[in-house]
Amino acid sequence: MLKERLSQKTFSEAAIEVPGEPHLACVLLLDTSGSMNEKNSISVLNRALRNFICDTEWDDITLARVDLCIIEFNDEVHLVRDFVPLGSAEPITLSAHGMTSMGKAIDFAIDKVKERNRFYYSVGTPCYQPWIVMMTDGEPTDDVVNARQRIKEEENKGSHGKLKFWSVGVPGYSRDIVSTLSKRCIEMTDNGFDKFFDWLRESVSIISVSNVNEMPQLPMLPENARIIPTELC
Amino acid sequence: MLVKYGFSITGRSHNGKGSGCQDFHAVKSLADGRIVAAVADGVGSAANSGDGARLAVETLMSYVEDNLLPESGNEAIEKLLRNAFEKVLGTIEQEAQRTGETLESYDTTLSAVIYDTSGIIYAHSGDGAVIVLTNDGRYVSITSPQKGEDGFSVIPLRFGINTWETGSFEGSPAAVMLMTDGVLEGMCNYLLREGAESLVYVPLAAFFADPVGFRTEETAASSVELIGDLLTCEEPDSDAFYDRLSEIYKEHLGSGEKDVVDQLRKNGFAPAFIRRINDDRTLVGIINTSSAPADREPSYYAEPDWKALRESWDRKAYPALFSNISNAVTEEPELKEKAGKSLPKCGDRKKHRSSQFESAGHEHNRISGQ
Repeated sequence: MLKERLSQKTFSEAAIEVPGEPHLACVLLLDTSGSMNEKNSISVLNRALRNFICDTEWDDITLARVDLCIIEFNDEVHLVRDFVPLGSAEPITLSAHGMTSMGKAIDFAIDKVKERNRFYYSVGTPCYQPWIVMMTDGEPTDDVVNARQRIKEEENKGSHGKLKFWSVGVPGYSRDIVSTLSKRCIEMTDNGFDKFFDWLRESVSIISVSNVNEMPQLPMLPENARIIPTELC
Repeated sequence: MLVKYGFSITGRSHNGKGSGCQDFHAVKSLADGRIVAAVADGVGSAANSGDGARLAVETLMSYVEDNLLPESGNEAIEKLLRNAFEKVLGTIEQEAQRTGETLESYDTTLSAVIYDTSGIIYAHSGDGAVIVLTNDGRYVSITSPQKGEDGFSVIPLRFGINTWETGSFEGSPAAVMLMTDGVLEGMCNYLLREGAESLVYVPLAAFFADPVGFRTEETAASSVELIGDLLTCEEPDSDAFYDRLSEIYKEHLGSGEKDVVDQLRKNGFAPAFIRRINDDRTLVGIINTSSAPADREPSYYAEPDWKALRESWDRKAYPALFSNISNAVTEEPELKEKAGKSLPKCGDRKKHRSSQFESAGHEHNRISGQ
């Protein structure tokens, strides 16, 4: 079935209209700890995630260029979906339980994007700075010292860094900790994930039509989200 | 006759920002008949990279003109090019000191050749390329794009002599092309590495450098004009491209030309590869019209099997999609009920040809891509 879908979506004549695309590795790193059951957050997240993946507004270029990976963390870290092109991605449904293994999850996500970009390099495929978008409503129940250090190292390598790590906190998140993780911290005032995913869709669309190494302006955040100044900015 | 041409065209992405072309090139015949050429690409969003590229090319050209001796052999010329690169780096360092800017803000690539009809001496730094047409009719890249293992960062000239690549190519090349990364990505599509007969997209390379297209002064002038149109125009004249390619291919394929060009024309990939370059476009060509590179098999000139190449890449990139094991999580049963309406299916996606997002908006909540 999966092969059939791939055949329809990525090997179609339309899809190879102009062969060869640069790629953007994008990891969604999602907190599915037990607290996500409160206020129905996990269901709202599932719906937003489904809408994001199935969005009718994606353009063909972005569908071909963005490789999406989904990782969840609770008691454990779980690779829900390894990298697939957005055009071949299918919706998923997550359930919430357990603790918040954020440190391990960040480590794993960084490993995934580094591995992915090494792959692109090995086959000569142009690629963008990878994105990790972490969404959490809690505070880590494991150690994040190493994870914080790795994010910092990757963000500060070279002229413009080797990673874009977005920490997105939804009500209940630990601002004291999340805002120390990366340069890019966003606070949501409610669990209206749909609006954030709209912003994410627009953002990766803009990146995917830009030049590799370019730093295009991203769109305005939705009204239920704002940038939190961090000491790393 | 030796024909030479060069173009540096501002890319769409730089046009939009008003940052101008950050590529620079020069190509010049020397008194002894040799040709020196250089291309440079100011790196990414480094603030002064356009100046860095210009300084790199101007300094190199000047140094070579002043120091190249008629009797110099290959080894001596290679050394001269290395010295020229050091001179370039020193000049950029001085400029950075003068302006109080960082050296990094002037980051640039640089590729240079000294060509005569018997061979090429080259020096190279960064993610551009030097591609030659050999006398046995093949298009071969004699340099390697220098990128970081992260897959996207470029190794600039600033990284120094240990990263610079120098060498020579003997055997009377019929043509040489220098290009920055934008044109290179069009010319050497990465999917070609998945088992194609040539790592260079031959229809484009032949259009840019096959001596057939430059045999007389009239055809040479016309070819250079067409190349300029292809690199410059948003909607280049596709028919003019394939008509010229047809004339070139007739020399190599005889009556077999029609089928090959008809298929290429139907696909229209060559102009599309150039059209989709957002980055600056720089190409320098030097063609020896007296040379007659050997004819290759028809398949060499034909459209690669993109579908097979892409499948090969996809198999490496997305092994999970080719596995028989599905780890799909089943849909949360109550989700539909909670939502009160049926959920959208991915199959309903509409197709949009281009990004629709405007960059305008409220500045206070705007996020820089950096």
